[in-house]
Amino acid sequence: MKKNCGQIQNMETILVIFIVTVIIAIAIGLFYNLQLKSLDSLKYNYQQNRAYNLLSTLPLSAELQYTELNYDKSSIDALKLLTSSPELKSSMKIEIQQIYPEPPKKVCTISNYPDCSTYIIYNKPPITITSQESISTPVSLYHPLQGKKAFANLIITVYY
Amino acid sequence: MAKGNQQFNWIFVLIAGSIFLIFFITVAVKYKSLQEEKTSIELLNNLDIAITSLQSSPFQTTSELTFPLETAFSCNKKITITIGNKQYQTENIISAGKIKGSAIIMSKNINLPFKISTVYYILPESANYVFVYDKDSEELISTIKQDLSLLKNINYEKYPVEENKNYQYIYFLPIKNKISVSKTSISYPDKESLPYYGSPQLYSFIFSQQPDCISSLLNEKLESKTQLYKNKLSLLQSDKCDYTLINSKLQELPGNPSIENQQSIIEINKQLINQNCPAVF
Repeated sequence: MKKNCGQIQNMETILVIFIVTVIIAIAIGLFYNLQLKSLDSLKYNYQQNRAYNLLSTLPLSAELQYTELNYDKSSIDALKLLTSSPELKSSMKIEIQQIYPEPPKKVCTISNYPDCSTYIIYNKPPITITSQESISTPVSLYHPLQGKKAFANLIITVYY
Repeated sequence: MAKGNQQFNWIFVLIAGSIFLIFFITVAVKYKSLQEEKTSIELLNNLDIAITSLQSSPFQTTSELTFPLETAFSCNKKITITIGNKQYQTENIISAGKIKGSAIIMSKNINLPFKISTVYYILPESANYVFVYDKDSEELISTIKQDLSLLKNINYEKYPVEENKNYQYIYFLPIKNKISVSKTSISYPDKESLPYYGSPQLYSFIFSQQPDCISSLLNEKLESKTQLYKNKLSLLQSDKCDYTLINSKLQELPGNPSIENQQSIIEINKQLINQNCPAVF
């Protein structure tokens, strides 16, 4: 019945190797989880950067830019805002709020234009919103019918 | 009993060893794919930054970007970018197939006659093009030379030339079974010829592996932007300013964006501005 010394040593070695492997497996599992979290934060930063990039490129897009004889007039065309929407795929909301001269606080449609302040040009929220972040930049808004410029804010709300 | 114990030990070692082996292999495979995803997101981020800086720049410029993983651009109704084995949808990027290593990015506005899009051409530094011209195409080539002066991997040679297999040859003269560019169209040895209405559109076809798909995407963009301006016209129309003529010209534009049609739209737009009417574009 008694186990000899060699057998005991053999079993001890197996046990030590087993425990060390389990510890290594747990460490690798934890490391992998950390990597997954860093990937999530990378994705979050990417979404954030995209929104900032969009903030600077959107006023130059064909869907919003006001041009005269194809020359950029550094303004957003208010009439284009009523009839078009940028071609995007991301979950976000893009709006332009006129600040000065201050118009009545209403969402703009063709029927109430220009007596309105907010142009919602893109709105695609996800089914469930875990968090959201808004960034904005001042822009010049041109009203071609009145031939007047206004001061506005381009606001991008990114949904996560 | 001792023999039974030894057998149990071996069975235990085999089972535990196999479980650990499977675990470590799975983690290694998953970790590789995770690292690839990380690299691809970093690459997409850098690409986005490069594109933004190009679009925001008031001057004609280029940007350099390194692709650490093999990146493929393909067009199938939409433009997709494949990095490693991950696919992402993108827009307005024209590239000659697969890229790995350094590449140059350049942007151009496509105006037909109003801006329909900004396109970005990504050329691998290793890609070499030779634009072959003759006496009749000297004028067109001098415009292109000026336009693409920032791209160092384009060479210009006068016909006849001896072809080198490391270079891609584009002929700016009528020649069979080669990529051949005329003043209005580009023809391919194995595809239908495509009409073009401006240099940026021509470059989109030259630098893309799927010019027919790019052509249909640009046509879609032209249609949507024409609709945008038609909608704008309906809001601009008044007793003082008559936009019916430009509206009818815009109606014809998607079907026939010829230089003549574009020129007549530009002229009508100019006349409207001279009459103190709001500009269409």
